[in-house]
Amino acid sequence: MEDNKNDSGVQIIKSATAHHCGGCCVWKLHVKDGKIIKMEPDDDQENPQLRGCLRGHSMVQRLYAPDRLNYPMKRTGPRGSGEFKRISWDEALDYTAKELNRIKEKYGNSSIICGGGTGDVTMVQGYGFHIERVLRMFGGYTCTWGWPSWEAASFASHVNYGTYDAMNCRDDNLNSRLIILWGVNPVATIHGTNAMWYFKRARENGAKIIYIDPRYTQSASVLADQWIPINPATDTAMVMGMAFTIITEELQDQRFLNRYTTGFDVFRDYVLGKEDGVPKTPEWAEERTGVAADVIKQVARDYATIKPGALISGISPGRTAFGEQFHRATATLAAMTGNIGIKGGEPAGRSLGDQTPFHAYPFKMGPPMQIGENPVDKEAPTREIYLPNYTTKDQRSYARIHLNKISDAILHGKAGGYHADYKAFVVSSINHVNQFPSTIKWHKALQKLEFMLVFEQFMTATARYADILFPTAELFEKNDLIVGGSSPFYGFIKKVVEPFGERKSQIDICNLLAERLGLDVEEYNDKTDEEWVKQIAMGGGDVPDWDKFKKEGIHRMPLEEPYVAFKEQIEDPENNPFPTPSGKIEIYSKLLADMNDPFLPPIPKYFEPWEGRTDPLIKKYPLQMITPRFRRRTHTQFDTLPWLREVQDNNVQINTKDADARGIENGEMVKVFNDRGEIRIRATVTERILPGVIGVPSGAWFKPDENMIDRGGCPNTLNSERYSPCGSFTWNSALAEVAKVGEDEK
Amino acid sequence: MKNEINTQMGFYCDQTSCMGCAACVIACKQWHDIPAGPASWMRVQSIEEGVFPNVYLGYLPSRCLNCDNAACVEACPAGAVSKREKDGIVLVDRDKCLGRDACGNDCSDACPAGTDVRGFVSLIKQGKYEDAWRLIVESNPFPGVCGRVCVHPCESACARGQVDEPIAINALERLASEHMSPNPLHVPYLAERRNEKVAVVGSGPAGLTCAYHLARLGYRVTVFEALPVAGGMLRIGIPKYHLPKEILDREIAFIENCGVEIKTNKRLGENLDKTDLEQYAAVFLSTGAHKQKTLDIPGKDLKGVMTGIDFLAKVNSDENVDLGKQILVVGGGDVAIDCARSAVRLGASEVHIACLESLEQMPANPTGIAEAGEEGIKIHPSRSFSRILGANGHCDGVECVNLHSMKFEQDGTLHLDVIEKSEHVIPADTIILAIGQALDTKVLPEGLEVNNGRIVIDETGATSLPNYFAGGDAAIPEWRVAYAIGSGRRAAEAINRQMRGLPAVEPPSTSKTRKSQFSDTETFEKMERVSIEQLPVSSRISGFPEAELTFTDEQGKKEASRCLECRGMCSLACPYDVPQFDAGDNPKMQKCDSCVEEWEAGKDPICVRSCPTRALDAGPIEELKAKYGDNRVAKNFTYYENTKPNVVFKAKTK
Ligand SMILES: Cc1cc2nc3c(=O)[nH]c(=O)nc-3n(C[C@H](O)[C@H](O)[C@H](O)COP(=O)(O)OP(=O)(O)OC[C@H]3O[C@@H](n4cnc5c(N)ncnc54)[C@H](O)[C@@H]3O)c2cc1C
Ligand code: SF4
Ligand code: SF4
Repeated sequence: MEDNKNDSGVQIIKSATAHHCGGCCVWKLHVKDGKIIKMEPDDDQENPQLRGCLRGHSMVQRLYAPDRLNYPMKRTGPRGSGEFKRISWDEALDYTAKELNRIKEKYGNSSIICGGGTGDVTMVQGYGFHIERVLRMFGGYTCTWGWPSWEAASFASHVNYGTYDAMNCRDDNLNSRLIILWGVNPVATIHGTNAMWYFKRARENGAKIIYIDPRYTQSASVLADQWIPINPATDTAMVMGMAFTIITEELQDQRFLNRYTTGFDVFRDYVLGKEDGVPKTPEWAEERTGVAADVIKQVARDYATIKPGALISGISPGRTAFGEQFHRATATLAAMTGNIGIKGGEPAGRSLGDQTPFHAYPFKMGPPMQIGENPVDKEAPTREIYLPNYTTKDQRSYARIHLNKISDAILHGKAGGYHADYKAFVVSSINHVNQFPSTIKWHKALQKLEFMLVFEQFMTATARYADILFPTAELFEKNDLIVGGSSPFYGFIKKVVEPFGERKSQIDICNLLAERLGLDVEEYNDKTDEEWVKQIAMGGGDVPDWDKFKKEGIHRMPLEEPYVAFKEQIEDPENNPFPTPSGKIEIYSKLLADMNDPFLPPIPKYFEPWEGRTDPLIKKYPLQMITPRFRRRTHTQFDTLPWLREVQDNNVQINTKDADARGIENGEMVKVFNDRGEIRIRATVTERILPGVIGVPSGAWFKPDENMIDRGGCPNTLNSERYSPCGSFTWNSALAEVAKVGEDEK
Repeated sequence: MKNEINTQMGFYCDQTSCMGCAACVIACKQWHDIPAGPASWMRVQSIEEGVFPNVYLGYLPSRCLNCDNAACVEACPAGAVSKREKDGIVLVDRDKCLGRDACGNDCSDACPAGTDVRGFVSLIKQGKYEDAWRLIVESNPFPGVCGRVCVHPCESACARGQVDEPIAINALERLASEHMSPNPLHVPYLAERRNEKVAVVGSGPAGLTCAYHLARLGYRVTVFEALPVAGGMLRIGIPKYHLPKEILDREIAFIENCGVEIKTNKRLGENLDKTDLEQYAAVFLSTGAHKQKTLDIPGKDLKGVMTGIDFLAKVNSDENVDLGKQILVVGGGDVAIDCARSAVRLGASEVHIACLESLEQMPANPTGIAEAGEEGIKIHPSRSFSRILGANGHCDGVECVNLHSMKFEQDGTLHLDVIEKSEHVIPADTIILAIGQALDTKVLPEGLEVNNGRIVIDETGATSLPNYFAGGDAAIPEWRVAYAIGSGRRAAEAINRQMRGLPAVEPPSTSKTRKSQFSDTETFEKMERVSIEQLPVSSRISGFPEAELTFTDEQGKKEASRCLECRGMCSLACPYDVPQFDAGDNPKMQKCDSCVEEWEAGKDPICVRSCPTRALDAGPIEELKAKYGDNRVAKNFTYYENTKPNVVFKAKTK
């Protein structure tokens, strides 16, 4: 192909990788006899090289893992049993087409649910775009709403800034003198390849790093000058306490507030207690957060005086009962300290870049495949929490189901207030059962379906319930594209080898399915995957040289200095208004005021979270459960790979005090439970977590036993489907109890 | 060694940047195609300290440090690990490596009976006592005997001996023998019965072991024994206080249960001859050395003079021996000591030993000499004997001279340096001559080559006569039970091979070129050897009780837990736990090779190139020191002086 083969017949080809890991890395793949035998970081790249993590390095094992799905399968056992038989592609496609047609005829298009797809974040084949376009052309389907990762951050960012493209690139942190990492653990979540390296270098440059998190993480061990453990779901209270300090000590950047923001006065009155009679003092905040008032004051003073300062508002505090308030509050704090639009600052709305579509740099891309307007969305009115700019009206149609509520919707349908009764479920590149709360409810719901189709690579918890499984190709077996979430570059994920077994790429599968469904295949898709890559990368003018891009696997945007969000708006506000209704940063939002939802107030506010320390339920379930990401996997992906499994044990972290009170020893198998379910998991008894808090690593594979006790240790067995007022998932708002496993319970 | 290294390659780690993510570990595994499992060339340990909220969390990435005095190199018995001159990279030659299981078996290699010592000790460590017995009898059907009387060369070879004291292997073997399956039908796996018949002449340990192994291989084996009892010297030579006869009975019964037929009162050359043996496909000769040498001096036929073997045989078969008041045993070997100590136990009030050798030269086991002293036996070393005195046909003393020195010339002639005018008499009314035994060559079949008083055999045990094999005291120079057992086992193997038309000996696949040497024993935890309880002297000499007690199970387990379980000596020796082994069959040593090929191509090792926070570096150690400062010890990392690793750390403090 493009590169030279060496004497031993090994060809070296460069390609990017990206999972839903928050990173994108470029590799040199060693290919021999049509197989990838090993890989190395691409050290030909100009500095800084995009270095992958342990998961990237295990791609060779993943590509050829013995537990991969290599053939189409049809279920033979009960749903959830995972019993399947191999069938031909013809049979799989014919059966699928027949079932979809039957269900459409009998129950209508709205009875088919499809949505999600975030397990694959690539721009050509990812996100389930293809199957959704097929289903749209088939007459429509019930779609979902709610970003599992980012809903609170994106929503808040849109309120304050009018866009979620509201973060500086990570290399800009080398300009920061203060960095506040708030609920950020890049060792596990990456959030921009090289993010840890930039933070570490920033610290070496002399930046002070304050690390706020209930856990002392691996990231903290390298980065933190100061660790501030905080009660989960109370972060907004700390921000309010900081705001109180800044206001009462007159440390705010009033010039900035006057010039670029609206509604600071309203917020100030709330903070000072003029609105509700409760001054949000640091002492008030201490009561809620567990962080000493003095520490809150110190952090406030630091943030207001050590400039430039970057408050990186992590997404975990946003995944709580009123998570959007956290991101609105941190963005407001960034405005109060004048850290927006400047080098080394950070808008602090959505401060972490993932990949497409959540990236810092405003790429000019060519259009990807469009799903198009979905007739089912039109069958119902728009929800109240619709924000123009953020979503279309259709995307907030009452015909849609919140991702968290799919299981509930399947179980209750119209009788439960949903738009339709649901009979078919089409799943592409997402593992609902494992990754969405109330796993046991999912188990019940999926039994009710008449047809379920899953596109998968592995026999995941969700795949086990499918009627038909389509084995999908892996990265390197298909062409795809990715952009850097917090560095401005395009990565070419190249097809390097033929798909193993009978795996096929999503694009190929959907072409075949479209044909089987009698759709106009030409209209559905007239491009190969490589043509799509070319159209998106070059169509907007970002990538100038196709051959070079193809050879090197990466194109970096040529920038003189690190990208800073809202630079133009700050430097020349007259000619560059913010994309908000007022053209300013909206500390007070009229859009929200008009929504008239007491829990989505026009200014950021603190609300006592449900399933937090003030919830009476805490008497029954005294521990706050958080569900941190886990370094050896990306959500559920990679978890079966032997290399990675031995890296770390999937244990619940519990503080020594809490463990002692329960007689639990380090390494002991314990049960973690609440009213929603019970999991069995080993305990890591540690000093590195706040007492009263347990950390159950997310993404462990759900493995229910006959009593529906989850032996796999999947935290969603215990999480609640209740979403925040804006639609954020609440993975860090759950109460639970931990106990020893009794002799008779083993 | 250090001076020969041209450019010592080193490794750098910035602990303040290492986030413990293990990217280097996975990078290394995929780059070198190492499966998941114990063998990891690169490792990252985590260090957690402190109490909430003042916690410390650090990481220690480690790989081979290419030590200056690499302990792994010294320890490898196969010479498979070496340090390259040009860059000091320590490399393993996988072809030479013995593999984890075969390596480090010094104790087992040292056992003449071929016992899997490491194996049975480790079973005892796990509390699997009967399994330990089963493993021993795979090679040696006499663990109860050997566990008492063996001279245990295994203990001298034991690697723990380099650290503190060797494992009490002998006592553990004895403990294992106590766990012999009580069910006589619980015999080891027996092959299908074959038609070939094999004769064994002599029922000592050599003969019975050969018979046992042949029976297990399916042959029909008959053992012919001249005496009315089976067991050879174990029965009639070794005294009961060393070896209670029930132990011997038990183990002979076990051998019989395996299908061995023993015919007593059948003496070759008397009521058994070569023609009788013709119906056998093979014959194993193990007649021992039962001819007692005597002193050719006047008075040797007086009453009260007897040979040691006769004396012991009588004592062992509970026959009455007329012992006088003053006993003199002549001889300096173990047999002499055994005779003297037996005499004490028979109630003799005064027992003396006199011998040619000086105290230091005495061939007897020093423990035996010391114990004899404790029991009141007086030793008269460096004497030459001119005649036995007597009155009324009964002896009453020996006339001796003192010697300056004695030595055997190369050709076997004795040279004595007599002290003039030192003639004296040691009074004795009983004189036991224990000055050595010899093979009775008269009874041997015609045409059998004999040399130096031994049947001539090759390494398989084959004699000059076709189908005749030999072993034990009759054929080998080491007159010890374990050697006799080993020779019997080897011959059984050879007989089997001959019958099956297989080549005589299989060439060994790998071999050791030297002994494992630990260059740094500081890294091992010292553990005290569990002492074996002894009866006090007073109860020891009243009758024939065993002097040493058997370990209790708990004592045995404790002692066995001292075992280093030498598998892969390199991995034991390396203070940093670098050499490791794959799971699976006979895995070879796996160890970081510093990505030597990459290095030669001018690239950094894959671990260095993979660290997301750029915490690692590699290169000539002097360059690293210049770049990052001199060696600073990482948190929670101890350098072992003897191995001096070539690594520079930027240490992380709290
Ligand atoms: C007193 C004494 C103490 C010892 N203590 C120890 C000790 O503590 N540790 C140790 O390791 N070793 C010790 N030994 C040495 C050890 O006993 C011998 O090395 C070992 O028994 C030799 O075994 P074997 O099978 O070759 O011969 P033997 O044990 O001598 O057996 C030979 C057998 O062949 C029989 N036989 C002889 N001629 C004929 C024939 N013509 N026809 C049929 N049968 C015949 C004999 O009766 C005898 O039963 C001791 C020896 C003695 C004498
Ligand atoms: S670290 Fe271990 S394996 Fe490496 S040279 Fe030193 S002793 Fe040998
Ligand atoms: S295991 Fe180690 S010590 Fe043993 S032979 Fe192999 S390299 Fe040498």
